[in-house]
Amino acid sequence: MNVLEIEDLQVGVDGKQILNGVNLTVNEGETHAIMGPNGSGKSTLAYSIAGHPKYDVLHGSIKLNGEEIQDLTPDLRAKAGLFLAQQLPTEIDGINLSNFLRAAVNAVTGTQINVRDWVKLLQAEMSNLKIPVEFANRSVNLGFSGGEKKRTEILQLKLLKPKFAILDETDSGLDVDALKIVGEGVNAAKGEQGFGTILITHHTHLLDYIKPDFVHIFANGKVLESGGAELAENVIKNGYSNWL
Amino acid sequence: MDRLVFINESIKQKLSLAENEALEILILTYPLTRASADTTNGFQQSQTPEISIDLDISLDGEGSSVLIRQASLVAGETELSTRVSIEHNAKKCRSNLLSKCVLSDRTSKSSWQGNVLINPGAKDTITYEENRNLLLTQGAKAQSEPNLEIFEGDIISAGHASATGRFEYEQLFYLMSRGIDERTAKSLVVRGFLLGALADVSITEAELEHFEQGIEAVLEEK
Repeated sequence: MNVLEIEDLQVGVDGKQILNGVNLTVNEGETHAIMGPNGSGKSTLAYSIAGHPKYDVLHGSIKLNGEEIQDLTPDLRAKAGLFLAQQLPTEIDGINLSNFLRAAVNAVTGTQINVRDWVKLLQAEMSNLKIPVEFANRSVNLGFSGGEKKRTEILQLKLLKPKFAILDETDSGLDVDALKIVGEGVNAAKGEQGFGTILITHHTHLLDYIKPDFVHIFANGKVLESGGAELAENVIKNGYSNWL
Repeated sequence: MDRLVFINESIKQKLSLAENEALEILILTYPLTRASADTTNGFQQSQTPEISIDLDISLDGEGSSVLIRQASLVAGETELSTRVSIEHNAKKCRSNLLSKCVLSDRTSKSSWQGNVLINPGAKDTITYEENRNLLLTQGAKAQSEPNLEIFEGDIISAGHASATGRFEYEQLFYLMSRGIDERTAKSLVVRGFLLGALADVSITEAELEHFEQGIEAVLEEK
């Protein structure tokens, strides 16, 4: 069984410590919601796991199936089975979505999918997520609306079939319809692939669609309390005041 | 359709197009590799740090048209200056100019000026000019000046656009976080950007191959 273990993770950015000892274990198939106010370090956790060099790991470990991944570059972490859906997906002029995704799928699976199979696969998945087919030939995320970017992240999640998916504020900036499409997309991918999920959010909208097995209240760079879905209910009623 | 090709050479030309004449112009600028230099029989080799493209095109005959595609990879201390002027002097003429430039080093420079002039009487004109630059590093400089002057009220469309963007670490990280290694990520972006300018122009396999070798050689050094 796949397992992602984070132990006493302390991380600094630009000389300032943001994470103060995070412990989190996610097993295959589990959904863990990380909930906390803005500025509590949730995104730092996401980027540290994905391997962004701006985030310095000061202490602790990140292990995927028992192997420390701290020394791996982001591409090797993706190949090892990690996926980060960004809060604000980056726009990249020059490379179209189809070529980008084919290169990514080839890299992650270590195969060379032929063009005809690829086009068929991509079109089917785009249609499931209601992404217009012409987006395949547009530069990655360039000029996409907020909702289109988020749906494109979920498209990547479906195609790259990771062992663990980190969804960083995937619900932010989405209207109800887009939220439903994204939620259903994640559930469908999860149903097919059974990956473990870390769902980072500061409100509870996406939790209406994606039911967490565990909820962790996150503030000041660490997990303050862990529990079941009832913790999220508490946040809906009382906000984060109980923990701050 | 007539076709003019300028590869890695400075040019200064004035051209006049007669009635219904159609012309395609392809302009490629890139650093030559040893391999491509050895095999580019007939291609003028220019490793001079300054390349100047200076074109004046007059659409003098009714129904004449020009399509210009420029793709440039400016590396090292190369300075590329481009000035393309297109005059619409007759009815039903078409001009379409797309220029894309990647600047790869701190010392690389490009200046670009596109001047489209629609003179009185040039009715039913359709014209479009666009210049896009991609900077791979801090310090590289790209100037862009798309000019459009219209002295005829009865035209169909006249558009111009310009944009200069930067390939930043966040973009590299995004691609890498999807499993693509650093070298491949850069190559995908630069090739995609530049080859996007060549989608609707005639280009031979040899021309394309040498251009792609030039791109890969620059990325190899990085």
